[in-house]
Amino acid sequence: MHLDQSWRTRFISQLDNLLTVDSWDPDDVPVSEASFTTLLRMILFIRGRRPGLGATAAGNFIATWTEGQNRLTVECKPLDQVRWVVIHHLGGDRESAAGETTLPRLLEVLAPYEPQRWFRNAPDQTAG
Amino acid sequence: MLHTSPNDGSAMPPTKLPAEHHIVRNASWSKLRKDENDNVIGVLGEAFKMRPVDTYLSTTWLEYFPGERDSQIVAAVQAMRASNLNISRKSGFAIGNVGRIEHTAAASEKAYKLRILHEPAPDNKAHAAVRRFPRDDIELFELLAIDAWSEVVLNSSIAEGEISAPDAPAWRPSET
Repeated sequence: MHLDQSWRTRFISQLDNLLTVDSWDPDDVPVSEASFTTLLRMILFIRGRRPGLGATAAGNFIATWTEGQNRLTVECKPLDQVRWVVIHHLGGDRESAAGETTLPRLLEVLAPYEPQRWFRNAPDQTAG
Repeated sequence: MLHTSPNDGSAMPPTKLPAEHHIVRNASWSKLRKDENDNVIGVLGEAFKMRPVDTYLSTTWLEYFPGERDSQIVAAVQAMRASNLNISRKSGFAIGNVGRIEHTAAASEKAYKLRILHEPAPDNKAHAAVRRFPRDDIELFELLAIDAWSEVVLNSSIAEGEISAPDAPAWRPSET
């Protein structure tokens, strides 16, 4: 496996918590298998810190990484399509940006925002 | 949209909320921002996405309710529970300052000129509508989450109970 047992156990716990009935607005579409495939592929691609998890009303998983005021949010759409938003502070200035790309290009697109700040492992995490 | 005065039935324009006031938006667990250990640290921009059938963003006016701020928050949450909204044990509520919401939207690339109006609804007399709100601007939604709607309270932290909002606001324009 690419991800160790502890990482997987905690990730599955996050999924369980997200997928319980009282996590949802009944008007929302349940998350799709196709979106989950993109989420898993992104995690294997990044091989780092677990994201926080959420979902869109349209049934796509949302993965988030937060480091203080610096935030990365990625919507996982079917077929390796990802929609991303970055809020990034540098010195006293703040930049924000958003876009849509394919999974293989994600890290390249995010490169100006130093994405490793979000992906490096927390002390209790290893990516295997 | 014109509303009818509860006193004489005459048409009256909706009240524009003062910049120093606050509005509350409910968010299901799936739209709360969490860290990797499921600790809630805010809301996702997705919490501000309107449903296709909506023409404005629905919120609840905090200063509609009497008392100190903590009491207003409890009353607003209890009024939202008593409304037709679907609120679960794990839901949260984002509290946003009217002036900051308007400023963040106006300062965005598309320079939205929002109007935040008290528009009482049959199931929630404290209902406030955010009009001219974009349908799909994920960058703005995330900026609103971090800048303007950054205070979040969890439903589980508010005293149990459902109490409909009173018919009239506690706040009066002369108080500003």
